Amino acid sequence: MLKAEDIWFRYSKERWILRGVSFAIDRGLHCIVGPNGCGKTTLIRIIIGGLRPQHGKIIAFGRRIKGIKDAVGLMVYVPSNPTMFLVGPRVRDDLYKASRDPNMSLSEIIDVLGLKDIMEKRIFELSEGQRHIVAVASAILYGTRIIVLDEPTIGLDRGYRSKIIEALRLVAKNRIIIVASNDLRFVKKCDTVMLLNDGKIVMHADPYDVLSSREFPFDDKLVRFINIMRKMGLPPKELSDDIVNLIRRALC
Amino acid sequence: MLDVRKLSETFIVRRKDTPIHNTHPLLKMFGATFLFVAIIIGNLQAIIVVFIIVMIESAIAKVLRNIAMFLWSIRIFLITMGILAFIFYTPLVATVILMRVITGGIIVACFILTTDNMDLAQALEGIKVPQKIIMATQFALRMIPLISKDATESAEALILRGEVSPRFIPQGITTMLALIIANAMERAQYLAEALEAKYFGIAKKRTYIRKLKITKYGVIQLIIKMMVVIMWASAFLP
Repeated sequence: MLKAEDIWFRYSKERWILRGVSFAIDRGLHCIVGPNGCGKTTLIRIIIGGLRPQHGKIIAFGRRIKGIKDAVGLMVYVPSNPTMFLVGPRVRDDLYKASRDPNMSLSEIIDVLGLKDIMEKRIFELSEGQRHIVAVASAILYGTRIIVLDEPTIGLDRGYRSKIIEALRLVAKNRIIIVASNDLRFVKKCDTVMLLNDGKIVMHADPYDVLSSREFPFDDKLVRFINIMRKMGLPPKELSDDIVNLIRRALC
Repeated sequence: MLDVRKLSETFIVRRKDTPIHNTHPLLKMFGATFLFVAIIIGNLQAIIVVFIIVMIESAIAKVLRNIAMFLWSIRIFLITMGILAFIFYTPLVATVILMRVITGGIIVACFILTTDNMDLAQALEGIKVPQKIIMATQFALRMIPLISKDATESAEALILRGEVSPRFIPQGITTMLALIIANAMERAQYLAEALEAKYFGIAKKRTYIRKLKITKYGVIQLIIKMMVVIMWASAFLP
């Protein structure tokens, strides 16, 4: 269980970035969404102990996270620039170093994420998207109980995005995965979504409830589609991705 | 030796509207040079006076917190150096050496924290420094907060990965520095390509949003700094 209790945070005296953020999450894939600059990355850095809030506390599996030292061995964090996480020098070396999870074999993750062709490449030879996918693979292989990811699907094509979602869903059964993302195609695959706006979590619910709520700040084709489906009495969650995409194309 | 995470956070600042920030960069540069001369030629009292001046300057510029973070980030280096100095020299000389390093560090940190890179470029252009040198200086300063941000992210990610010790033991520091340098080089390459694509540097004269002014405060602080050097230099004259 990961709990945040009444987190207040500001960088300078002028403005509070987070104003009384509280949530409690258990195993599963959880997403933090919100407009740019709303404090998603700040919240993530508070969770990992990188920033100390002015008020409030983070408790992960009964351990109070006061600083980054408290999170060592409990969490792994992939920043939005995955280059800062990958130690390489080759993809293979990075993944071997990371392999600590007895429940997840290296070959399994290589298969799920389709990393076979890039295993011998150097980290700095990889494209931005490939770096993201290798960083996610490394994070999964660490086997920590909490995985924290900042914008893991940024700049990824559909294929890579699906692979990342598939891999994260695979491990979300017995771990807490927190993702800060505005990628709505990713968001809809999560177990719960926290909508962060104006320094507060204005909604914490099922992705379809959040995406179709009035509070949701983005006007997106997918959001409009979900609303139409809702009005028609169809729960889009139960439809397969192919059908959803087919209808979306027809509608938009 | 270095707490890279804290050191990087030191230089992530927003521009503030204080008399120090609004001082002409050249006056600040000359002032810093005078203070450096004072701490090199001066005795312990001179260094303490310079230290007090710089601390007052930092307080006016509202960067005291950053200066404290800077000193905290290099504490292991300072402690090691202090121990060595006290072993090899007399207590007075050791104190002078330590104070010189601390005060010198604060002078540089204060200059970086309070100088906008565009202002510096404009000031250097005013004294006919070649464009290439101005651009190199400007982009080096511009890169500091970006690299600092990278370093912070990298430190956090690598500490949680178990590659870097959270207790600042040098273990893993090379991995982190390698990552930061490699990433900085990549950033520099992208920046160079972008600048080339924008025909940057083609025009002989650039336009700037803000016009630099020599403020009353800037002149006063330069005079104070000059006085410190003159007073201590004259103390040694026959």
